[in-house]
Amino acid sequence: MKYFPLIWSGLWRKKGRTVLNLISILVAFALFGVLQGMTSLFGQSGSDLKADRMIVVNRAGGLLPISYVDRIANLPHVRSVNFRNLFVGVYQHPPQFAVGFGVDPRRFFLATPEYHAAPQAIADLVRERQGALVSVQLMQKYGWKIGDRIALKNLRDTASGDGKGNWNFDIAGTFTISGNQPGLGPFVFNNDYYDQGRVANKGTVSTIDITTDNANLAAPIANSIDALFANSPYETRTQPAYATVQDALKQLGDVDYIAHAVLGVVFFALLVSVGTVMMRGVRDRTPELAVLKTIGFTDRAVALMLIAEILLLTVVGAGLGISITYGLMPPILKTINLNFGGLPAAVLLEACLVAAVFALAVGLWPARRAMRLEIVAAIGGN
Amino acid sequence: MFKQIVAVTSINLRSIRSRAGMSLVIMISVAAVVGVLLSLLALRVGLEQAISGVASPARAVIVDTNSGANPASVTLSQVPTIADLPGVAHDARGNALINTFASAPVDATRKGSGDLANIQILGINSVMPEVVPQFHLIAGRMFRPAVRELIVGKLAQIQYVGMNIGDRIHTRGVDWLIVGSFEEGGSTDEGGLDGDVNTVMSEMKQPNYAEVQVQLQSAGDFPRFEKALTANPSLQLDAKSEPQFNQDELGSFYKLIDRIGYFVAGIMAVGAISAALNAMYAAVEQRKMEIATLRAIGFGGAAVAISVVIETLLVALPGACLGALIAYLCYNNSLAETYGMIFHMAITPGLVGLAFIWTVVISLVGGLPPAIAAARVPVAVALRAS
Repeated sequence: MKYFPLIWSGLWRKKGRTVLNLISILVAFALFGVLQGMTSLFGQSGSDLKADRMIVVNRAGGLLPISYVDRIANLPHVRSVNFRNLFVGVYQHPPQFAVGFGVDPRRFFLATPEYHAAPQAIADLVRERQGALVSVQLMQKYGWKIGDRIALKNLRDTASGDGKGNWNFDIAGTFTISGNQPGLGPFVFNNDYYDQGRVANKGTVSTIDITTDNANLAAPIANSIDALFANSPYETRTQPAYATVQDALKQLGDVDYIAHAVLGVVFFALLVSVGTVMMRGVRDRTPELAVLKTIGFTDRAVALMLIAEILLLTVVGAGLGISITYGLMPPILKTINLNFGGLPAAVLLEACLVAAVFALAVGLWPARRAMRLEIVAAIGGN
Repeated sequence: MFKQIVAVTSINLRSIRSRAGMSLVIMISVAAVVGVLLSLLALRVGLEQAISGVASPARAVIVDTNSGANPASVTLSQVPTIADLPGVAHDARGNALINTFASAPVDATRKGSGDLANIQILGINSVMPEVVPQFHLIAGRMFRPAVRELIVGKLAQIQYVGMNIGDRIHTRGVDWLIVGSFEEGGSTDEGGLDGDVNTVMSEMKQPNYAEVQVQLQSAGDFPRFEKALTANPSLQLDAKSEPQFNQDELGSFYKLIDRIGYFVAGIMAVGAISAALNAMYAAVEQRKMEIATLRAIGFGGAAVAISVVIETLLVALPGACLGALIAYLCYNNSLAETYGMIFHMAITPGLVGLAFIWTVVISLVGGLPPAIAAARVPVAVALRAS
């Protein structure tokens, strides 16, 4: 610690140079934070869903008859069954979207424990045919209040509701969602009310969610469900709930690969640029380093001091870069309707690791050079 | 003035070897920006080419009156009415050139990873080769109607296992036999299978066409066709020209990919600029004496400054070429897949031009401040320092 002033003054020997290096490092780590943050956010979406939760969808990508709910409930090892009707609504005008689920309220909140609503709110929803419970985030986004009547246009079925796709819901209460669930969260409403307002596809649902009593039996249970409806007009596909979330994101492309390739290029370029500048700095400082050695600093102490200098620069740059990430992420995620809940610990840890490895890689050459410096030659050479 | 610039620049370049490390910094930083920019934008350009390459403004896609985003589901009985509308093209025997499609998803296994992918069996009719001239068989024979036969797209054969002639596709409890393979001008349809539209609809128990496209006599006939279509109260349908339809459906997706590319490369460009600043400041620093000498014997400050900017550009441009070359070798024409659409990524001259504009901007922003510093080198002080 007593050498800190020395390290500090070494760093600021050439102010411009150090500031520019700092900017390069900062930029690289800001990009690191954004890209790794995104991929880890994608990777863990839905990972807090347990393996005993499965989702049944139409294999051909359509709807399922509501009668399937009871048929699946009768299968062994199926503990609870719940269904959802997807409602993609627009509030006032696009792109103000609000996604809702037509559900059987009691069944839904029982089968989906990450959704928390007060028992009174659920009872209110059951009583109010036209009611809806809205996620807290969605309430905030559009400034809705309990008791409001909201008008939404159904994008998926423009013949439903008033015949032009317009629907009214009365907000009966709110709910919160626990765990790492990206997005605004949906609203839920009575499926009975919804089904009556439909012209086409009456008596169908979008997905059926099941909970098994034994997570180890997930695969055979999925097979028995799909076998039950094989060769019917509505064939099913049953898969773990977390798999559907990750599949949907995988569709976008190999996000992991792109992020890693970009970061590889970025850090290679950074290594070359900061490394070269550092090397040059050490060359400029040859006489000073020789003086340090003359007054009794060991070879190792001089080398360590240079490495400490680079480490300090990298740590400050990485710290600033990661803080910039915290500023960049919310607006980026907002464009895809996700909320930013901070970078995961794994990404922060990775950043520390990358910073350490980077500082060592950059510092090694200059340090070696400083270590091998012959006092007489260094002072005499100038 | 011009002579001076040439003279100073050539002096600079002759001593560039002694600053090889710093030049390398600029080169590699610029190469990284250009490489990443081109690789990411090649995704969008490739997809756009695959989608719009076979599109024609003389084709109309039938859409719903209220929700114009998706193709309308058209009933069998509506098609003859559509065929009678003005502007519809006919073949030599007088049949209306109307492409009717059905579509059914099947599972396919990706080569290599073994992941399951959802691909389409597209039901097509007999006018397809006439309406889409890029469509033709490359091996085997055409499917026959009324039996479960398919032809497979070229890209699907590359991407998925079990897509050879003679292989069987199992879906909904029945087998379909692959009897041929086709290409369609690099369209994303090459990533799926084609079968007879009526056979696909009856096997999949679909009552309506999933999509209908109408070949018009010419692109100029679109307004009168659309007017007649929307005026017909029994149809409740609207039309969009194929390029317009594609743009409405995918425009925002293109924009998203573009934004990701510009965002990532933009952040990297900030890094490259700071690297260039560092390198050029160092170069000016190193040549302080030389610059002071030049100034002392009568070279102007502007000539010195411009020569520094030119040096930055001359070092950055090979870097840009290197980055473009690497991106081209790695990704031009390589297959990419997004939302089940397979396509070749494409690095076009336009993209390369864009990359060079970026390079020039990076060089100017990174080279100008050191250039100004060079012009301001105090002659007497610098000379005396030695």
